[in-house]
Amino acid sequence: MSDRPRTLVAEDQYLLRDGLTHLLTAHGFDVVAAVANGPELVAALREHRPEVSIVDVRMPPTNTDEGLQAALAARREVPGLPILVLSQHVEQLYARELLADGTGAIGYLLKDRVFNAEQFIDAVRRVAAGGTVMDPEVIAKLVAGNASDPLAALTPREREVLSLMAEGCSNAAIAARLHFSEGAVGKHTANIFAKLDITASDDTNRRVLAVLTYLGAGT
Amino acid sequence: MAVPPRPRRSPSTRDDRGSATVELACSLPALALFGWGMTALWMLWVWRPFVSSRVQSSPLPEVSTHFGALAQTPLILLALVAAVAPAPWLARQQARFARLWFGPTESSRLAQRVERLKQTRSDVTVTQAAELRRIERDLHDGIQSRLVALGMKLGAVEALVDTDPAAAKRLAAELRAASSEALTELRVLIRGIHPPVLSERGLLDAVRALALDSPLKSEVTGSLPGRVEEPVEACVYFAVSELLGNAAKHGAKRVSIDVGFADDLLTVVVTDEGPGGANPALGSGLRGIERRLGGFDGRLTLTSPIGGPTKATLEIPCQIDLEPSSPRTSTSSETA
Repeated sequence: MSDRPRTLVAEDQYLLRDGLTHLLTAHGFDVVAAVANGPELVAALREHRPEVSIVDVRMPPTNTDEGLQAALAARREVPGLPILVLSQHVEQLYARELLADGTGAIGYLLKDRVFNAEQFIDAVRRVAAGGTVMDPEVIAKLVAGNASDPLAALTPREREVLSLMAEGCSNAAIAARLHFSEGAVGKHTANIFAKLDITASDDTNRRVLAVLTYLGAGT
Repeated sequence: MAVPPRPRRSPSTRDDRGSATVELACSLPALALFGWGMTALWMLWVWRPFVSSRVQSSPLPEVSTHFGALAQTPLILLALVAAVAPAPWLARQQARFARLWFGPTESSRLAQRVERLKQTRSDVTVTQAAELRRIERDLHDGIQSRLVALGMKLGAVEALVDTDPAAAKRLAAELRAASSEALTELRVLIRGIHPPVLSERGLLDAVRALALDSPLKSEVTGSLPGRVEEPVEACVYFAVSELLGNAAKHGAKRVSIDVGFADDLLTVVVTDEGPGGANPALGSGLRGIERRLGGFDGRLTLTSPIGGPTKATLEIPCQIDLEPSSPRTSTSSETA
């Protein structure tokens, strides 16, 4: 990721598009394009190959899931193209589709998360750096919906750690949130990987992705 | 008030009856021909050799030898075939005749239809009114009061911002959290009115999303050739949602949903491996589904033996838009 990552904003509501552009610019992002509909988004993704894109799911002309489809298509063309998808509602169905390619650099958040500028910008940076950021609401549903099989082996504490990991938190961030030492979190994550049969790796983001992919394929 | 319909045959019914009578009359020649053929054969090959050596089946010439009988036989067989060939057609006509004479008349059918439409129309309006009341109540008790609270807190921030900036900042953070809560509540409400995933993806994916959100292990199969009419989509979505909720409530572990469309009939089958024993007469939820479906001339068939599995079949006659990619008009530029 460069110092001033080239950024694309795709959002059909003028106020939010403008707000996002200002917010990102203020935090050192170089907004190269701000588009308001599906076809423009597809063209801009092709032309600019932005280092990170913020994309609204529902946009004209069909007002269905234009943004999501454009994001998926762009990532089929350029695997791992960093995209953060925003929506007024989150669906496990969409989360699974976004995660399915397993290349990371993907985010899926409720629009409300923009309210907290620091956390939102942090999420954008993590996606730009190749990480995976899922909305806590998606994670909660994923974990609740999968309480049967692989996750049954986890302790409640481990499940909590896994949820935070899936949101894209680093071990340090998890330690801060749960008031543990970082070492304790490391132990928990090692246990989780062992129980879920995932080969450990030093790259937190890869591990998050592995966990999510595992959850996605686990049903 | 509506006057009870006087039973009276419509002209078209009378016409149909007349033509059916005529068609029945047409079968008499065939019967006569068949009878003549059988009699002629009998006379040629039974009566002639054993009783009287000379026979005649008019209009054929008299026969007194085996050779003569042999010569006339193909002709008689031909007559028999000609008599039997139109039988299927005649049978159909007779069936029609019977239906017209003994089945319900057009007017009684229409009367039944009117009765059914009256019933479903009142169900639909009652359901709709109840739903509007629920939405009004949710907006009033929820979002509206939250917005009032937000406005009051904003006023407090305004008052404090110069004198006590720290307190104002704390309040602003609370405000942010409160607006987030209001949005969450609004999202739930919207989902209850018309789930966004339904307008974005159509019925099949919306059902998949429902299945994913359900705590049950669920499997969605089937396919649709295009987008189902919007009102039907929503009706089926909420019916499936209700059925999944019921299955979870009654302890089912696994549920399968099959969606299909053939001959202008949308069919959704929800099967759960629960304890069974579901009865639409008792469950208000199931009655609600029936009422909703009734508005589209659809129906709910339930088989639920004690011990399970419970199989609910939803059938709705409807049209499908074969070009799902066609842009859908939006009444507002404000989109999610």
